[in-house]
Amino acid sequence: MNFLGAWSHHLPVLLVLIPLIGAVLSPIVARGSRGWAWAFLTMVATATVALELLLRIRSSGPISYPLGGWNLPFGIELYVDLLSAIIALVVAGVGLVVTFYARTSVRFEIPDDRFGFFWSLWLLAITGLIGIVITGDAFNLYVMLEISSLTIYGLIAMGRMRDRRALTAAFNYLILGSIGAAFILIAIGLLYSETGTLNMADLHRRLGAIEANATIRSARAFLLAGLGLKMALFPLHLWMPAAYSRAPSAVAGLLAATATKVGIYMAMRFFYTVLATDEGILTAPNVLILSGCAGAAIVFGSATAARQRSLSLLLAFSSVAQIGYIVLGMAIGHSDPTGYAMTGSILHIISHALMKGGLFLCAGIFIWRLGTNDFDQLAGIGRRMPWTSAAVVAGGLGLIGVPGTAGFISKLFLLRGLFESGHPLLAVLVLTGSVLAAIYTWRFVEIAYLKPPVENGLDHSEAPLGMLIPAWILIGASLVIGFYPGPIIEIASEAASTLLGGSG
Amino acid sequence: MSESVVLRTVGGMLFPYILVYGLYVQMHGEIGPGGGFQAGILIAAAFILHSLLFSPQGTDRLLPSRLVDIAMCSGVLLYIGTGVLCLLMGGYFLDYSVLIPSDPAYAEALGMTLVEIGVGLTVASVILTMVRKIRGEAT
Repeated sequence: MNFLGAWSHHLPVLLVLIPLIGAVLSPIVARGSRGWAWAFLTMVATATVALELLLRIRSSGPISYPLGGWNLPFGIELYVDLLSAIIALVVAGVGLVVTFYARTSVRFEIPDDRFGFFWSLWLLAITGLIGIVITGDAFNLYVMLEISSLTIYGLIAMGRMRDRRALTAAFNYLILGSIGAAFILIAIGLLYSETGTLNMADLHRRLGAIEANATIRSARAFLLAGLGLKMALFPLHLWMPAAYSRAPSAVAGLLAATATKVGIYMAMRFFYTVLATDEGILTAPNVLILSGCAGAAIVFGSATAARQRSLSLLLAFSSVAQIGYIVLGMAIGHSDPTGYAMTGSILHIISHALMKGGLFLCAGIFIWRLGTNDFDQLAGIGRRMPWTSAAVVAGGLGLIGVPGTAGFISKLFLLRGLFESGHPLLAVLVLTGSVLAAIYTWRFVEIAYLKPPVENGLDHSEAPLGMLIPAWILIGASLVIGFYPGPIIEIASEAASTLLGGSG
Repeated sequence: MSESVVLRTVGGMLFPYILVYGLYVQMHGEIGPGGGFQAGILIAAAFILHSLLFSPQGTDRLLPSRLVDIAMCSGVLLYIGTGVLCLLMGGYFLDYSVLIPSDPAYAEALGMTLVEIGVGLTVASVILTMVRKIRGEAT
């Protein structure tokens, strides 16, 4: 697949450049309805580069790219290892599918005169998310974080045409997200003041050589809180349900699948690469805080999801719980010598991105058809929109972790990791979460299939293929992983062992 | 439009000088204090002054909002384009020294100047767009 020839060592920078160029060109070259075609083309190129990069790294190891040709560690470095490549491919791949979906959904959710800038923001958000993942420089990471966050606030606010409350949701996220970003910046600044470097590998080296003092300890505290906000880890998830349920449906799909995942990637990168010194950030109290929050997230998120009255809110609270699983695997990852917990965590990033992305697209289809996805309007929808409802059920089964879905594979690894590292109590929490997931999935089944249809004079026919196909691509991919998990498990465990090796 | 003749006359006279000073700061950036950000702000300030003293519509005629949008994008594009040019000439992204192989030091200065012009264009047009939006005019 080496079609890039001599350009192949530029792959990391191309991965950021392609969506960035697409973003700045889109208001000029692609006004009106052509904007979608332009964005789609850009995403095809981005996803291709991401795939090529993953394959290259698997065959020949991590790639380092000095921007501007400056010597490291003085210049800004792009550093892509297996974990970065996996997350980058998740962002680019899901981004591609959701862009396909957005063609239909955006037309009725975004004012016409905002089209050019919508696609610009859309591609910039993806640029920022990918940038976070492939950079090897702590300050560059913060810059990319701001690019993605600011564009995402704008994208959420564009939901105002359907629901005016999108504006308050975007504003709340703006405030909380900025606090999170500021904390991360403070932490990076404190680390810089102690070590005099911003390069992640160099930071790791120098932090290993000095005794942990008050400055470094406060940097850790700021990081923990800032990343918690960005990941939407319970109890710092308050911005998330409103933002996800009121954003334009394509934006909700993109965010649910990628934004919080990139937050978790940042946490993995900081905890396991930058701060992985002898004492490390994952000291006993920190692990206790992280796994406690994660456990609470699983129970609280799932229980709250079961009480919601609309599909979007249910899915958003279920995301709170699912992030709990991922953080749990990450938090105890280093105390698990077999690496199962970390592998499970990485697997769950992938499978949750596919399932929740697909589910939010389905929620968007209901909104497109009925103007809402409140449960009282969805009664009996299973017979009228069979394909969309079936996709929701398939995704819900994945959230429970039924065998044959991607969710099963990742939870299996997570549970094995929890037992191997001697945390049976947390394993019980994970199982409780699954039971609660079964309850909220059942709620949808009951409403969609067992209740008599409501007569409200609305058109209840099946959604157009332009929306149905992308939703099923994501859900279908999670089922394929469930049945043929081999290659994904192999890649994820390789990434996990690289990451854990860094903490030695 | 401002009521005061003094303000309008002095402002009108200052307008070209602010622009020229902005350009000076822009071009001086890579060897002394200055650069794209400062220059962009100065140039935007000239147009904001113009719209305060005369009519916003007059400024829009002078500088149509479509042009501002294009400048906003092409500034970033100039920045990225310089970087990509370095890629095409066989260097790393933004490795200016490859632009003129016979004189790498001059090439560094050239690359920086081009990138700073991109920054200046984008900053000026973003500031103008923000002021227009705050004024509540559809663009």
